[in-house]
Amino acid sequence: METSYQDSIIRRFRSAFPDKTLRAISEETGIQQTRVFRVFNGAEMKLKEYEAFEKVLSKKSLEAPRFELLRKFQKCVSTLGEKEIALIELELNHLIKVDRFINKSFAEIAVMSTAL
Amino acid sequence: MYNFTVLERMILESVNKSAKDLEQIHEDTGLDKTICTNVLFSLLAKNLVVIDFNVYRLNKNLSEAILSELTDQRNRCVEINALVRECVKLSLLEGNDTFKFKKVYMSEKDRKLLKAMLYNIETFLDGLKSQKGKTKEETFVFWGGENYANAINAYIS
Repeated sequence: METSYQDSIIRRFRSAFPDKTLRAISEETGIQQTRVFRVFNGAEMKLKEYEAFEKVLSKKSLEAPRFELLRKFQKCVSTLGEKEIALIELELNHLIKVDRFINKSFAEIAVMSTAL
Repeated sequence: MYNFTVLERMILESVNKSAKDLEQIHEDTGLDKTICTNVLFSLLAKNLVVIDFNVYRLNKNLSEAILSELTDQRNRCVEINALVRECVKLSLLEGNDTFKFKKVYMSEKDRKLLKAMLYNIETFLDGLKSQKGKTKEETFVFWGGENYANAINAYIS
């Protein structure tokens, strides 16, 4: 796994949970506290650890404020015309693709190249 | 449809000026090397660029299908939106003085005057096209105008 990918996960995690202690991170991810410390200080993350961090981040994205956003989005989809929805979808595709260019590794770009 | 993003456009423009290796693309675009590598990987997969001894060049033999995807107007709309939006954000939210917006009533005479001035701007900018420099040092300029009610009606229709 590329270091930049790991950096990106840690950056996103720190930004989503700026005040979380190592103990709390350890409890939430299921990764040992000393291991969390080492990962935050540059030790290479294992796939299982990466998945644990992603899972916590993904859970956060479904919390109240984000959930409200998703609800609004759902409302827009049901009220807007096909042309507007197609443009919004295209905008989202671009944002997802750019995010992957910035944060993902080659292997994922390869998968993405066929999907987007 | 291939979602051709601003990052891909920038790198494609860079290698279109001249074939380059990764270091030179990074230097020309100012983009992080990892991003350049990821974008190039995507462009290679789509056969938009070809690689020859670590040097990337634009594939001059693009199929009609991919050319039509690259010039798709909806895709261009999203691409241009992205750049304009950043300019508006930098100006209104960050205090940069790079975006101006005025809403005025214009007589027919005023409209003609504005058209002439915009024509001069366009001619001036067209004259600069032959100047070549680093992609990252280019400036994008945009202008335009629309009848207020037309725009609002299009927005709500």
